[in-house]
Amino acid sequence: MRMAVNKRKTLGYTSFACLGLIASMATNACGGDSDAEEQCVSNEQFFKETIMPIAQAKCMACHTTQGQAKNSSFIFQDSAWGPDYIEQNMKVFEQLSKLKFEGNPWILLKPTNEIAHEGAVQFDRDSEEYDAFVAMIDRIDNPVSCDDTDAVEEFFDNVELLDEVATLRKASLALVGRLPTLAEENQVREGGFDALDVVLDGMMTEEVFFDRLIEIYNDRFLTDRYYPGTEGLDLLAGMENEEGDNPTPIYPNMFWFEEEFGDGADGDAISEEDAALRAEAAEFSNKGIARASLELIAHVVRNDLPYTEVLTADYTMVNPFSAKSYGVSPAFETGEYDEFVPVKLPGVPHAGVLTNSIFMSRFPTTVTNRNRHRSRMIYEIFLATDVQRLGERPVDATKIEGFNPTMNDPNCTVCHQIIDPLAGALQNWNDMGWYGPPTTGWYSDMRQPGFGDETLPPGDTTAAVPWVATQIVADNRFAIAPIHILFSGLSGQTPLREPSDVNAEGYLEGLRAHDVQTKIFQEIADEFIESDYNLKVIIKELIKSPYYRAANAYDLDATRLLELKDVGTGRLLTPEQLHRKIEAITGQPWQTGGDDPTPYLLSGAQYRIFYGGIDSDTVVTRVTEPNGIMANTAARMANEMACFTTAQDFALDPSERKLFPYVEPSFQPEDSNNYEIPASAQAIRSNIQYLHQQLLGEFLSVNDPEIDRTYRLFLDLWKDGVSGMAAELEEGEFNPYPTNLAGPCQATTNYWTGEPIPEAQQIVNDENYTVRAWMGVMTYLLQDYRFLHE
Amino acid sequence: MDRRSFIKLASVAGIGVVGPTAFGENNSLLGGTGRSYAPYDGLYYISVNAGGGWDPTSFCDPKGAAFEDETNRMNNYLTETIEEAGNIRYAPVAGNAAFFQKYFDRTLVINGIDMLTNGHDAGNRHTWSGRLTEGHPSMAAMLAGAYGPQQPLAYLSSGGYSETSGLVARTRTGDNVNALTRLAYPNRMNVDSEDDLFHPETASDLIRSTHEEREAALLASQGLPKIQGAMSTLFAARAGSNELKLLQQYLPETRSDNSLGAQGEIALAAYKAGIGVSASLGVGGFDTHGNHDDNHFPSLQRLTEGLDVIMERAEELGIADKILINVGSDFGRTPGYNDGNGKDHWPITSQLFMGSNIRGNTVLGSSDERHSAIGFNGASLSSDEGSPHLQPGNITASVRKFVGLGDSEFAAQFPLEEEPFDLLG
Repeated sequence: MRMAVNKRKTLGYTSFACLGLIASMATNACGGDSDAEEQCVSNEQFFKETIMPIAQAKCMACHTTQGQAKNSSFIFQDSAWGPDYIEQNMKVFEQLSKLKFEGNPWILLKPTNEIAHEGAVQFDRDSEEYDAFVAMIDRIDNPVSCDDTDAVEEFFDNVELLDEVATLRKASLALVGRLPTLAEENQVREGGFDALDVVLDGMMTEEVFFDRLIEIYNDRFLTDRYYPGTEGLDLLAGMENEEGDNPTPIYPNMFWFEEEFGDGADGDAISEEDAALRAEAAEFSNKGIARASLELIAHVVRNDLPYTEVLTADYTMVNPFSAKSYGVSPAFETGEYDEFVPVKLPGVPHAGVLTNSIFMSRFPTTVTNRNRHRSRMIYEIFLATDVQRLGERPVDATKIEGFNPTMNDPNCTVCHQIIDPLAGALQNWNDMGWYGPPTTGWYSDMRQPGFGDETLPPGDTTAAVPWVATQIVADNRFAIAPIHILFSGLSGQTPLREPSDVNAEGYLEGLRAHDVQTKIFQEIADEFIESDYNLKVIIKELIKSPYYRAANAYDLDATRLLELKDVGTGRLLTPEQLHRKIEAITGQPWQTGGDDPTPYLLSGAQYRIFYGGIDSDTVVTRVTEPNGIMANTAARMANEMACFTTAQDFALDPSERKLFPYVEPSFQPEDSNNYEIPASAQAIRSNIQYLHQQLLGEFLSVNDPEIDRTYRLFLDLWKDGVSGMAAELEEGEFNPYPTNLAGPCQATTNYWTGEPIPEAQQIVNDENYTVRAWMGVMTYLLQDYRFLHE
Repeated sequence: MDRRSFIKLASVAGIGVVGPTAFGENNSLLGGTGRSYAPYDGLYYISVNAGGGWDPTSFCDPKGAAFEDETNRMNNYLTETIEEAGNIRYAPVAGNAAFFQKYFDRTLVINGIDMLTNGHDAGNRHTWSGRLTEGHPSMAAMLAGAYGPQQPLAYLSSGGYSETSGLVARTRTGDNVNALTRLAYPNRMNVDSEDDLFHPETASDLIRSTHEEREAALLASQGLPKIQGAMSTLFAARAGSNELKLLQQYLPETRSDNSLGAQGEIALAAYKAGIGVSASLGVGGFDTHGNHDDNHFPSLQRLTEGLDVIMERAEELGIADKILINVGSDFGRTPGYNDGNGKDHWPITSQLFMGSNIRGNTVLGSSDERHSAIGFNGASLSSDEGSPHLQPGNITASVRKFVGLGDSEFAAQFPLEEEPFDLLG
């Protein structure tokens, strides 16, 4: 659907372009925008788009907490300070505007050096900057506020969004790796976005949704580095009670399965069956250990618990196998390896993920690092704060002299004042990621353990992490952090960062884009908090947002192209998502053959890394743009799956088919005289239309040019094949057009049961060449942009 | 439609495509003009990242102890044991001797580089893009984007900062060569048989040409730049993917068991096949906050042995005179040892260059006895207390100039504040 073209309301944006204030603002304003008087620019918008660029260019070299004017009362903050930094800067500006000397505001007298200013003249009275400051002072006295809701709608003018049904399809593949059922589609078609919420709620109870959620969070936690294998077990097996002369293992039963099934020591023979069971038990025990923090997230969401419990939970998660490793006995319903339940481990003051040894080990520390790395990661994952950006400006560290620079030198404290208190609150978790309060207490040459402005209450420090968890979840950034994580997970994009270079092309457009996204995310955060931190609210709101649904745009000028440059989810599916989509749509997974098949896209030994996946160990960031190897991976997949599934689908009853419900192998498009057979041709077109819908999400009329194109391909492939089969070959000459299908492409055995297909339904022969023509169409569609992307 | 036609069509449609737009100076080292659709045979640039912050004083900027029990000594080896290979001094630890004795004449050492940061991400970015703050592509990505973005393995990445800023598609390679072979021949049921195909050749051509028509139609009808970009990236990747099979013939029969060496073998095979332009490789283990000597020296040895594998393989393939290797790290390590016998982050570091067309057997830049940077006079290429410190931006600007991109559109699009010097020769 198109959105109406509305007038853009950026009076300040365009009028100061007329003054040439900011070189990059090459807009059409100077031509005399007759709509100017209808436009509204709020004080905040004016300050952000007009005053802040001046501040960055003229003031912030000195007037920051680290600059030469750090001891003055006129200090600007940047976005790294926090989400309210603009509000803070406006307060500071207002304070200095109200301070007057002989009736003139200091905010004007200082930069013009009309009163002593160590920074000398930054601009003159007749400059654009001066006029801007005057305008801002006037606005402070006569505030302008605008209807903010228009800004978001206007930003997405001329952007075509997916309708509810198309959004449902995209979300269904993204969340649960399948197409929506007919009932779900009809429900949404009739009920609109309200019905979409209901259907999504239903989807978010399916187990495959929790698999997807775990994938999204593992991209941040990277704790799958310890899964599979036994690395998680190995890590915890070394934990010891260090009291007394003879330390004893805290979890002596970690490798319980070796005793139960035998470990082959002392020459004892183990039966093949026991060896297999032992291997399984090892794998499942390790899964329980390695995935506890990710399963906690799944547990919270599955049970509609507040997301805050991810940090405040006074329990951890175990499956039946890791429960035995820990030596605990909670109740299980099924006893299967994938059933996780909460449990308190004796002697551990739990605080959700923050007290999980695997999570702690994934972000290691040393005697000099002192938990700062862990602190930084907690800020990044749970508070959407990249601490390293606080100190991104050049630092002359060789000039750092004096005692204890992380406490006393501004070059260092810019970051350390943030991370060191939290690092201290993590004091009870040692460099191995084990719970072990330091016997001599925390370091006296570091900031007091705490969080933000709060210090850890004195006394018993064993509950330091549970205490700091309550502080973190109360911070207003805590509600933003999961939005960032899920936005990235669903769209493949990172949240926008505020542009910092005022002279860069597209600075103002980038600023506007950032503002709109911040506003939308804040609205989602508010709903999230109101729902008592139900994570599903974030997922639903993101799916309904323009960012997820933007599909196309029209009539964009240069400015709008810059503003919208990050809009639109042309997201290459991850290997895991593509794996699920292939099976959902074709009816078969893409995997090796044999009794123990390996999914090609999920295995590091096959194509997972080639296709841009991660191993959570040394490869930790996904490749999100296709390259030659990935294109070839898709081509190989398309060829193999077309071969494996085409005849198999034809062997089914039409009512059970996923791919070819409207045609049969006997349907040829033309007769032997090259005349079209109308009924066959029409059925072929209808099936092509169906395939475009199923595989590509394109709802096209049967006469659409794309349907024409695919039909032409089918026809050309068929003609080539028929002519090839009829060609006479010399003796011994290789025949590329046999009448039978190649072995792997035949349908003689049911893929899932392994049982022979009834002979009458088997497909071995393709004397009409129609099966191979359809295989060609499948290959064409399976590597299409719209199959590989969402 | 070949890649050139596709990119031309997209340009007419007003759509940005990952395509060759190099306007760099002609450089004989680069084998001709920048704009080329033929197999790439210009300079092959390999960046090698020693991940975590290496210690130059344990490598190419040695600082020893004056005597054995010196307190707060820089290192545990004595100053008098520092060795030399030609003009290059090196620390007498790890595999340094074997490396420098063999390669000193083809090695340029640059010491005393001021990273202006102690942060891993910022340091990585500063080293490999020349800019401390975000937004610039890595040097390797810029070169690939300028001289061969259409090549299927234009930019291989397995380590360090590898931001592309949309100039080129980045490729990762796994270790499974059999899997790579299957991907090189996607239409072969049996990769060893050219007759055993999923589709006859004519059918494959029909599918390909239909794709090309559809791709042009999709691009022409799409108005959102982000989706256009995603489409064009896939189409460009697909248009040249046939050349992947060329990689196979240039991989050695027996792969190196050194991780960096193995990465280098794939990178060199891609270059020899004409389908690669640059690579970002990496080796980790240098962030030694504890037990520095025990942990750092093995990593240094893996690094130098890996570089040896790369150089040897380049000689075997007859391309040693066409490669430029640039070795660097996030930053350096603190003077002396901490309480855990480790070394922490320090903003002064070094870089290495290797290749036949650079000034070998040379050390530029310096630091004092406590590894603080000494100013560098770019005009005279000499240390000078009164001159500013050498920064990564100077080095990146110098590399850009060396590879013919100094005054290019790319350099203008991603400007550096620091000036280039004739560091490489």
